[in-house]
Amino acid sequence: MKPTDVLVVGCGLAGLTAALTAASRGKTVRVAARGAGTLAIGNACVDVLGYVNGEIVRGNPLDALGRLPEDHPYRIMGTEAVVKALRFFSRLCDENGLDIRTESRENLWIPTALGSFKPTCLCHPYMDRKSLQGHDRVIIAHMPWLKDCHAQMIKTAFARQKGFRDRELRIVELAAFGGQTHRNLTPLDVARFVDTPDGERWLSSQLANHVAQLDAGLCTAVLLPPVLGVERHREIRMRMTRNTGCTLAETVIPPPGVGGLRIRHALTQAAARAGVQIMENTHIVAARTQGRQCLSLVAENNGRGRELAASSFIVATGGFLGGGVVASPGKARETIFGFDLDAPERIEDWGAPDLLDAQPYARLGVKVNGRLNAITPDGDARWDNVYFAGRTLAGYDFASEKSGGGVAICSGHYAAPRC
Amino acid sequence: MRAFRVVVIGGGATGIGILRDLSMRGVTAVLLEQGGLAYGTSSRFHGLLHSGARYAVSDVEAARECIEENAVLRRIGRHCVEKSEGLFVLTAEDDEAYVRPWLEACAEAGITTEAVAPDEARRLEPALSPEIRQVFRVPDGGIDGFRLVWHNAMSARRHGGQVRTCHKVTGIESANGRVTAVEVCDTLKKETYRLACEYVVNAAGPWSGEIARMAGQTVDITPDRGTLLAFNHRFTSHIVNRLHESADGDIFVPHGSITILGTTSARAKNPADTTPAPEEVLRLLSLGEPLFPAVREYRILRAFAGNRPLYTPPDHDAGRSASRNFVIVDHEKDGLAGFVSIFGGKLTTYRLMAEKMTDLVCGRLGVATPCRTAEVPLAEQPSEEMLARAARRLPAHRTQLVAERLGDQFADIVGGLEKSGGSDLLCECELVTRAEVELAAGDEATHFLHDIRFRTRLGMGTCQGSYCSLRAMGALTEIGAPFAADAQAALRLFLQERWRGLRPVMWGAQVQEIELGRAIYGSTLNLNGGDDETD
Amino acid sequence: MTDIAQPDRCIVCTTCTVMCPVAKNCLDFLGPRMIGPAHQRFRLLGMGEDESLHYCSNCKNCDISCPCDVPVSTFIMRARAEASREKPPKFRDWILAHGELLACWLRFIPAVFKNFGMGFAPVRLLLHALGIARQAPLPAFAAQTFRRKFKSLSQPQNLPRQVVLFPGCFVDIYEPESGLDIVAVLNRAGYEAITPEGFVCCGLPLVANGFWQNARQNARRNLEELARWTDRGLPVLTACPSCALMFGKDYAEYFPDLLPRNLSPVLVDVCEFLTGCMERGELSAPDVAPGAATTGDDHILYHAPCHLRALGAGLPGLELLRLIPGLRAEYADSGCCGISGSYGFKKDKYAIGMRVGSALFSAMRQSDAKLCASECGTCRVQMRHGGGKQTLHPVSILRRWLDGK
Repeated sequence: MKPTDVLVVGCGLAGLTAALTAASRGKTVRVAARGAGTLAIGNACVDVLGYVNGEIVRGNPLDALGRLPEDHPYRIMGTEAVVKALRFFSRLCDENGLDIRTESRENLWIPTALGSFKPTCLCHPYMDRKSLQGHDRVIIAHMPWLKDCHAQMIKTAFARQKGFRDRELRIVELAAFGGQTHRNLTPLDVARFVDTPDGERWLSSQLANHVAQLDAGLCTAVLLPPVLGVERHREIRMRMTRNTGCTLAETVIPPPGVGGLRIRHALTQAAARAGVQIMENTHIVAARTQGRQCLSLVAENNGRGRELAASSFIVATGGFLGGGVVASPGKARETIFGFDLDAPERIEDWGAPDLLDAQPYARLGVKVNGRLNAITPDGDARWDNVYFAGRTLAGYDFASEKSGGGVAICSGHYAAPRC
Repeated sequence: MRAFRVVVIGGGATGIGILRDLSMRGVTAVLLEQGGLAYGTSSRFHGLLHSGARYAVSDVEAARECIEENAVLRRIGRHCVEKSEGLFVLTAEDDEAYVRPWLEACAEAGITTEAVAPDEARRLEPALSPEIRQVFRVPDGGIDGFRLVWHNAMSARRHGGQVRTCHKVTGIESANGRVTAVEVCDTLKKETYRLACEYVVNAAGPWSGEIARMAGQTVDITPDRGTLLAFNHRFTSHIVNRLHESADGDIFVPHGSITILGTTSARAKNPADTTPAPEEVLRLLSLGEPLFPAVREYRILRAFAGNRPLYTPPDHDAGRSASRNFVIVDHEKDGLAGFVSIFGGKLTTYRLMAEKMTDLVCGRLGVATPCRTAEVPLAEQPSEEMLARAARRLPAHRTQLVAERLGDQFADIVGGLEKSGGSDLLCECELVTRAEVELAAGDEATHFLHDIRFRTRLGMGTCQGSYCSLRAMGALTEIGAPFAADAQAALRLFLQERWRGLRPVMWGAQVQEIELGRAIYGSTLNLNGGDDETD
Repeated sequence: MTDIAQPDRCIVCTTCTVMCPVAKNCLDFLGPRMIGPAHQRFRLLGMGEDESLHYCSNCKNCDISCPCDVPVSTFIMRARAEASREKPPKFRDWILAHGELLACWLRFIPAVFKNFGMGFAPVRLLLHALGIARQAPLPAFAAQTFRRKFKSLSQPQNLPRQVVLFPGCFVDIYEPESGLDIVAVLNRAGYEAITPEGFVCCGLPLVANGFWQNARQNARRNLEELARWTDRGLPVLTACPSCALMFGKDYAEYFPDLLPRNLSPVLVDVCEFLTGCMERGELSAPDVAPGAATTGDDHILYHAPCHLRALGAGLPGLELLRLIPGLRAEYADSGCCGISGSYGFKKDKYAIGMRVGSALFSAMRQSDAKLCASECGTCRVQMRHGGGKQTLHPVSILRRWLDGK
C-alpha cells in the first residue's frame, strides 16, 4: 500500500478533525479506524470547558484556560490554538450542512434527558437555556412509547430552576408511528424516520396540532428528544420551525445520542470529498520505528500483518473507552507503541471516592510536549513524527471538566499542521 | 394495647424467615429493618445452597443440617433455587490425602457423592483447569438471596406479618426484667415511636451485638468480612469447589447470568464495613486460578463484601475456624425475659434457624401451632392462564425469567405487562421490564432504586446501571413514585453505590465501562455539576 | 486463547446497533448488541433465542463498528447454528445456501433451460411460495461454469510466475466472464492462473442459513487445499470479499479447532494483488482507452461491499480503479447494498434489503457515472436491480481498459 503524507489512527472527533485539517493543507491522508468512533453514539455538542476544579466556569471558557494545570492539553496548546480550532470546526460543520457553532463567547447551557443543564460551547444554538427561557411557554414533548423519553422528569427538574419560574411548562403527548415493534425504539429510530418525507410530515403535523390548541398569544418553545432527523437535520428543523411557529430544541441523551451521528455524517462526507481514505476495521497493533522516527504502523487483521507507511502519524485512538489505552491491575499502557503510562501502582489511587468528582484514572494518558509528541519520563520526545490527539492525551478529565469535544478538536487541529 | 406480640429486628434471611414462621403460626409480628430487605449479609454472599460437603470434615452436624435444608429449600423455594449441581475438584495444588476422609464424612452426613472422571468434568465444564486430578459431584445448588428474602416477606405478609424498612431500632425498653417495647426511628419520615411487645427477636446479623447492647445484654459475635467477585458471564454451569479444607477463594457459583467467586475471611472493623479492597480482589483471582486458569481474563463486574455474624465465645477463635453453626441465646438467663438473639449459621439453614427460634418464642407465648415452613412453598406456581397472557407480551424465554423473579406477584404483573409500554425492557443487560420496575416500586418496602435492583436485578448486569438507572427513574417519575421526587439525588445515590463495587476492579473492560458511565452521567447529563440556576 | 463464546468485551456502547443497516430498516430486529453479546449471557444460562434472531443478514457492520473487538456476528451465527439444530432451516434456506451443489446437480441441463425455468413466471411463483421473493433479482446460471471454461482456456505460454485463483461460487456459477477477466489481467501481469478442483464453496452462505456442519466440512476441505498451495509458496487470490473474509476471519472464530497452527488462512484480494503488480511495474497502467471520453465510461461509481470493509485492508478495488489514468472513480460511501449474499432474495427480507440499499441506489441514480463497480457478485446483482446501472467487478473494468474496449 502506497505511503501517505499522514496516517491518522482513529476516526472519532479528534481523528477526523486531524484528517480534515491535514487534507485541507494539501496532504495525502489515510485514516485507520477500528470501530466507528465514539462520535457515532455521542451528541451534537462540543464541550470546551465547563468546570475547573469543580467550580463553574462563568463567562468565556477561553478565559478560564489559564486556571487549568500546566500539563492540561489546553495549556500545552495555548488559547490561540483553541480559538483557531473551534473556528475551523464551526466552518467545517457549516460547509457540510450542520448548524454547530457558538453564538456568544460564553458557555451555553443545554438541556439533558434528565432535566439538568450542562455547559457546552459549540452546539445547535437554539438549544441554549437562555433561548428556551426567552419563551413564555415551554412544551415538553412526551413520547410514552419511547423508553428513553422522560418528560415528567424534565418538567420536575425545570420547575426547580429560577429561570423557568414564571414560564408555563406543559407536557404534550405525541402518538406513536408504525404500530407495535418487537424492538423498543430509541430517539435514533425516530430521528431516522423523521429524515424521510413521511416521518417529517408525521412529526410536523403532530406538533402543529398541539400548538394550534394552545393560546396563540404565547411565545412557545418545544423541547424534544433528539429526533429532528440525522442527515437532513438543518432543513427539517427550519421547515418545522416555520410550520409550527415555535422554537424547536432537543435534549442531549445517553447513547445513541443521534447528534453525534449528525457530526459524524458531516465529517465523513467532507473526508470523502477531500480524498481522505478511511480504512475501516483496521487494527493497528504495532509500530516500526528507527531512532526518533516512526516508519510505519502495523495493521493486523485476520492474522496477517500489513505495514502502513507515512511521513507523519497522528494517534487519536481514544482513551480507555476507545481502546487507545488499556489497563491491567495497577498499570496502564498505550496500545500501539506499547509504552507504559505514568499510572498509580495502587489501584486505590486510581479512583476518587465520589464517582462524578474528578477522577485520577481519567487523567491517565500519553504525556506530550508542545508539539504533541509523546515524551519519556525525562521529557524528551519519543518520536518526532508521531503526534497524539484526543482522549489518548493525559492530563484532563473530560467528564468532570466537560472538556471532551474541545480537547479532541483542538488537539486534532493542532497536530495536523505539524505533519 | 399491643399491635404486635413479637418484634423481629433485622431484614435478612433469618429475620424474615422468623417473621414468616411466626405469622404462619398466627402470632402477630412486625419486622424492623434499618435499611432495606436483604441489604446486609443475605445479599452479600456467594449464593451457594450448600450440600454440606464443604463442612463434612470439619463439622458433620452442620453438614447434616445443610443437606436436609437443601432438600427443603428445593421443595419450598423453587423460584429462588437454581438446580445447578456442585463439583468438588482436587486441583494440582490440593492434598490427595483429604479425599478419603472427606468422602467418608459426606457419607456419614448423608451427602451423596459421585466420582466424575476428570475428562468428563472438563467436557461438562471446558473452562476447568486441565490439571485437575479428581472430581466428585454433590447436590450443591444456587440460591438467590435477594429473591429468597423477598419471597419470604411476601409470604409473611399474606399471613399478616408486617415489614417496616428504613426503621432503625434506637432503644429496647424493659420493666421488671421483662421486655416491654422497642423504640424505633422511621429514618425516612424522621419520626421515632414506641412499639409495645411481648417478645423481641434480635436477628440483626452482624449488628446483633449492637442491638443486644441496647437491651443491656452482650452477645459474643464477631463480624467477619468476606469479599466476593461477580463476573460478567457464566463460565461454569456447575458450582465448583476446591476439594480441600475450606479456605479463601475456593468456590465458584454460577448465578443467573453471572458467576461469583468467593470468599475471603477477615475480621471486619465494624458491621457496616463492606467496602471491598483491591488487594482482596487480586488475592481472590490468584486463589481461583487452580480451578479456572483463565479467571484473570474474565471480566469482573464488581467486587462486594459482606459480614458474617460469627459466634465467638470468649475461648474461641474468629475467622474460618469459627463455627458455622447457629446459636440461639435466650437472654432470660441473663436477667432479661422476652429478649432472644440468634446469630451464626448459614443462609442455607435460615429456615431451620427460624423454626428453632419460632419454636422457642411460641413456647414462651403459649402458642402450640406447629411449624409448617418446611412444607408450604414460599410462592405458588403461576397459573397457566397468567403464563399464557404474559407470553402474549413477552418473548417465550423472558416469560419464565419474569415468573421466577416474581413468584406470587406474577399474576399482579400481567396487567402491567398488558399496559402500553409495560413490556419495554428498561434493563437490557438483565432483561427487566417496565412493568416489573413499576410493581417493585409500588411495594411499601421499596424506598430506593436499590430495592428495585434487589427485586428485579435491574442494574446488576454488564453496564452496572449506566443505562437502566436513568430509564428506571424516568419511569418512576411518570408513575409518581414518592422516592423519585428528586430523581437526580436518587440516581446519584444509586450510581455511587455501584461505584463502590467498581472501584476495586478498575482494569480491563471494566475501566472502559466506567469511562462510558462517566461520559453519560458526568459529561452528557451533568448529574454532578453545579448549576447556578437550580434552587 | 480466551473462549470465543464469552461476551466480556462488550461494554454496551450501542455503536453496533447504531451502525447496523438491518436494525436501521427493520424495527422488529433487536439489533446486534442484544442478539449478540447481551443475549450470549443468557444463552450460557440455557435460555431460548429471541424471535428476531433470523433478521440478522450477517453483513458484519457490527464487527466493523465495534470499538472493543467483540465478535458480534460470530455470536449471532453460532446462535443461528444452534437454533437450526432444534428447528431445521426452511427448504428455501437450503436452496439459497447450497448454490454450488444445485449448480452441480443441474450441470447437465443447458443454461438456456435452467434460466428459462428460473425466469419463467410459474417457476418464480413456486419459488415465491417457497420463500424466495418474486421480485428478487435471482442471477441467471451461466451456460458453462467458470471452472469448465477455465479448463478449455489456453493461457499464454511461458508466463514467469504462477498464482492460484479461488473464484468463489458467484463467479463460478453465475458470472464466469468476471473470472475470465481476472485471468486475462493476471496473464498480462505475467502470472499463470491455477484454479484447483479441490476448493469448494467457502461456506459463508451455509453459515448464514444455519447449515453449520456443512460449512464445517467445507472449511476442512478448503483449509487442506489452501495449505497445499501456500506450502508451495503460491499466493491464493480471490475475487470475492466474502470468501476472503470467511477464510481469513470466520474460520478462526467458527471452527478454531480446524485451523492448523501458525497458518493464517489468507485469500489475497485480487485487486490488492493487482495494485501491487502495478506498483512493482509488472502491470503497466493503460493509456486512456480510445473513445472512453465520448461514451462517458471514464467515470465509475464504486461501492465497497460490507465484507470487504470488514477485511480491514482498505478499498483496494477503488485504489486499483484510481490507478487507471483518465478514469475517475468516485466512492459511493452509501453503506450496505442490502443483499448480503442470499438475504435480499428471501421473501420476508426482500423489502428490508431494498430499504437498506436505498441510499446506494439513490447515489447511483444521482451520479453521472454510467458504469458502477463492486467486488462482490451479489452486490453487483442488487446494484443493477436497485440502481438500474450496469455494474462490474473492478478487474473487469481494468480489462476493458487494457483491451481498449
